[in-house]
Amino acid sequence: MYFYLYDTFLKERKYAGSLTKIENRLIDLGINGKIEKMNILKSAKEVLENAIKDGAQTIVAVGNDKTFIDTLKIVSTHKNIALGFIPLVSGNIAKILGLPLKEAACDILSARIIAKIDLGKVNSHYFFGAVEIPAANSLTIECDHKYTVESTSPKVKISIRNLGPIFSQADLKNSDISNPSDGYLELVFESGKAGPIFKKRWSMPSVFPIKKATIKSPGEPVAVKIDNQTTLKTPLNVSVAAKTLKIIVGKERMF
Amino acid sequence: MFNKETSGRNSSQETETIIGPSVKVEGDFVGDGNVTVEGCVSGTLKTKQDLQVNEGATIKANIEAQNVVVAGNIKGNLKVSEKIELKSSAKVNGDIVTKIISIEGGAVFNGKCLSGEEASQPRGDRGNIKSNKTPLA
Repeated sequence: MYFYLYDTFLKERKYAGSLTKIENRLIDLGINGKIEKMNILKSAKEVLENAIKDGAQTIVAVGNDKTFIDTLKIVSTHKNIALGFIPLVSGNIAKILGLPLKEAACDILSARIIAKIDLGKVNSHYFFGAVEIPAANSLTIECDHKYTVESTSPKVKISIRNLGPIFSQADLKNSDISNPSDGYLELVFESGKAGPIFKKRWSMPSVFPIKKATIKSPGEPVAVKIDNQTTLKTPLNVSVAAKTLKIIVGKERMF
Repeated sequence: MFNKETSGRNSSQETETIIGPSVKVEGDFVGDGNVTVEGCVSGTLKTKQDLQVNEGATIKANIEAQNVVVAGNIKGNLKVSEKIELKSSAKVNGDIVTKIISIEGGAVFNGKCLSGEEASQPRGDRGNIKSNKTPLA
């Protein structure tokens, strides 16, 4: 049974035509289901949990990248629920999952190619893309309870990637995307290089495949961004939740 | 030898580790894939695949790997199941056990070296040769 969650911004008139085409296409493909249009008074968590209780096995987020991530955070806590996405606005997630925009995405949904992907976990928060620490020069990362990594450069960016920096980087290439089904996260250190002030220069990044990490800062807690949306402070425990999520993807996906 | 694309993934999807020039690793590093070192490592370093120690890298650790190419500094013992190559800028202080060793002119090596097919076998199998001669009365 399919359940479609429409984001609040889709109330705008300019989306009405696209939504009608999408709904008609879903009927033609035989994958129509219950539609819930969100507004500020409704809680997405409550709506989705009720849908799953009522027997929905496929939840489809309809909207933009934020819609997808907000839906993912709730669906990831339930086993055996597949997550689909109909993007109405272009963004990195549609590109990565190999999904065309609007009604063309319905055909991908109908083809139902499912990828079981890993999620990252920071304390009790799941993340899809990456955990990023922009001001990371004093941090020590303990990996897999076996070794520690720290930077000797005064200017360093640290990220722990599941899929990659999909929310902080606009123009993604295939080399920016990590394998999200290998059971590992990637700890990446990017250190600054001496050069002209107006030109950002980074030396070759360090990459460590890990399953667990603890981020500690010796002095004041440091702010850490999760999927460029949530901010937490150190110390933090990061781990991989292997093959936790089932996502409907297209053939043109980037992993 | 190794793909330097930043993702840390080579074309065969093995997990590749890159320890860059401004990073320090301490402890027991154990990996499954290829490892490239340009920074500092202390403790132990083990991988099932290949290790490349580039110029400028400093390793104070015992090492185990399948194939090793050294152009940097190593202080520690190396156990290499297949081949080790010391490039002209290599400085190794420690013992090496390997099947094949290659040393370029200019490399510095201070330590013992056991090489050949026998060297890479476990110690118990070496020297167990049955003799057909009868012992002297």
